[in-house]
Amino acid sequence: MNAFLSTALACLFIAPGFSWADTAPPMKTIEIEWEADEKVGGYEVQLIPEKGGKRLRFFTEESKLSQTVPTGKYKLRIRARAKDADYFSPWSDPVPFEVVEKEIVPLKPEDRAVIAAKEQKKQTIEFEWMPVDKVKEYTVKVWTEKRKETPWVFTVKTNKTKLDVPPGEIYYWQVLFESASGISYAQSPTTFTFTLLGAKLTSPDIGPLEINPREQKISWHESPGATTYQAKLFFRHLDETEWALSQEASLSETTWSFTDLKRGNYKIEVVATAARRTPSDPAIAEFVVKPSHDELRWALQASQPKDSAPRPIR
Amino acid sequence: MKRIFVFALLLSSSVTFASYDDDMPEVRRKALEKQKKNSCESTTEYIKALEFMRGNKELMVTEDVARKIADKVSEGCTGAADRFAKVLMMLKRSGLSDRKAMEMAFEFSRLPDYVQTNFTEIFTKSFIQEFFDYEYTTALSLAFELSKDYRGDPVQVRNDFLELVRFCKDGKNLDLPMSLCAQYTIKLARLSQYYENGIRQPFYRLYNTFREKEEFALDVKTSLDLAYNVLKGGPKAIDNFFSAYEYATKKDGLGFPQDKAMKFAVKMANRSFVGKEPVVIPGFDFHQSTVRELASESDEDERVP
Repeated sequence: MNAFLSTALACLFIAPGFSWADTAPPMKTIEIEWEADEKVGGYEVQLIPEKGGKRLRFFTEESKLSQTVPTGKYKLRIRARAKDADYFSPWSDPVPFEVVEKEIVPLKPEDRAVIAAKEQKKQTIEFEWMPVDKVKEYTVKVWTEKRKETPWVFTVKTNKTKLDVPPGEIYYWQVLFESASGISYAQSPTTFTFTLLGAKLTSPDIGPLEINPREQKISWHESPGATTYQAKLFFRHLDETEWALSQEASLSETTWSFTDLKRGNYKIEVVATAARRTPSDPAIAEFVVKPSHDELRWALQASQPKDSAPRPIR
Repeated sequence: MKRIFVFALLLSSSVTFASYDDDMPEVRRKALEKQKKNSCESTTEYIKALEFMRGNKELMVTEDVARKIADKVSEGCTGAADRFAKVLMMLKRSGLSDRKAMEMAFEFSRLPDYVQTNFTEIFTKSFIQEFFDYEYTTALSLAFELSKDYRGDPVQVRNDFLELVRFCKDGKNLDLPMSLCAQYTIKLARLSQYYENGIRQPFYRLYNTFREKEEFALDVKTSLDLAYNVLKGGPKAIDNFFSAYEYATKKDGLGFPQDKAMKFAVKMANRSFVGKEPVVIPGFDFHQSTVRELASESDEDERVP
């Protein structure tokens, strides 16, 4: 009994179906299989928690057991029951084992990572995760919304692999694994995602600038593939060196217009963006908004202080 | 005898009066003039400056700060409040920070009216887009050069500058980019200090001759270059140029072709003065002698923040 027990023992992990108090250990499903004996009528399986407490007892007529138990260290023993009598064999020697919370921890790409593609059409993505003990092989499944029904599925012996995928998509991936004993289990693995942005957009070419005291219109040439332009306007006085953010906007057009901007130095930064594309480098241009001649003349006239001083006493 | 005595008395009295008119009154008149010139309407300036600060919505200053500013402005003698307000508002409207505009407004409040007028006129024309459209720093340094740092007659240089700006802007037949015309204007305005009545008339005389006279008939740029090269020799240079040119082209003179004669004439024009540069002609009221000495009067505790 001990021999078959030790070779056929395996445990598998299923996401907890219900919540426990914070102090309670998470529940995991274990599957145990042993060599069948046709002469017996059934089996009693006992799990003895190492730290003490209530023993777990299960009865089964088959030579396997699937049960959800709290994670932790146990001693497992099994005894057979006679077919027609309430008679039990002696207990097997206890086999220590541990129900651990094993799960795939992604290393590359990180979950919810945003990756900028370097190539236009296909980008090689390296998948890597924390290795799991006593695993024979891993099955990696990768898909997108479009390829939900036809995912990429492949099996690897190590904890890393590569796949060429087209940029500009959100990808989902899972890793399933098979134990070293060769038993595959039903799994509900965690799904990871990453976004593979398309190639970097080209910077918009700023110009022409139509700047006059009344109206200021800044235009730029369209960047191929861009859908929106993130524009920022910075201001500083003529004698200052530090820029301060004045306005920002998300624009679908290739112009940004203002009226009567405060007089001084301006710097505009425009970044071309598109869904699942790497934003462009910012295009930068500087300009000065100057007053008109009439405006300065008016300022000089308006600045005339009133002569409200009392007259000298004579 | 009686008649003679009366005549002698009258003669002696007239001699006495004539002597007083010739000496003492002159000294007195000068002193009175100086006194008048150096008198300051300080209270009026204080009140004007304070009322200006209080009444101007663009200036966000507290009453306490406004009073300190008014106090400082009143140090600048008669007209200081006007000068302060004009420079402050012009620079603020041009896009300078309040701090810098205020700093410069204080500076100009202490200088005579014509210095401030030169500064505002020259800065305006140099900076704004409709005229020279220079960068702020270039416009500012030019305005300083031709106002507070100017050695010649400030009124002449202002009139020269404005006249030449008009020449650039209205010169329909000039066919010259504004930026290039601006360069010539500045170069010529810098020569104004050597000419008693400014540079504009001598310039027009030369320029029109080079453009219109058949023997020259030069293009715009060459005419401008040549006019500048002659004028930098000072007031005597024009005469020297034309007489040298005439002699150089004459068969019994030097018998040069036109280009060689022109070079000779420019060379002679540039030898029209001794020393490093022609004599600078200051204005009647050279401002540096009238600027108040304020350094000793400033009160450390009353500094404007």
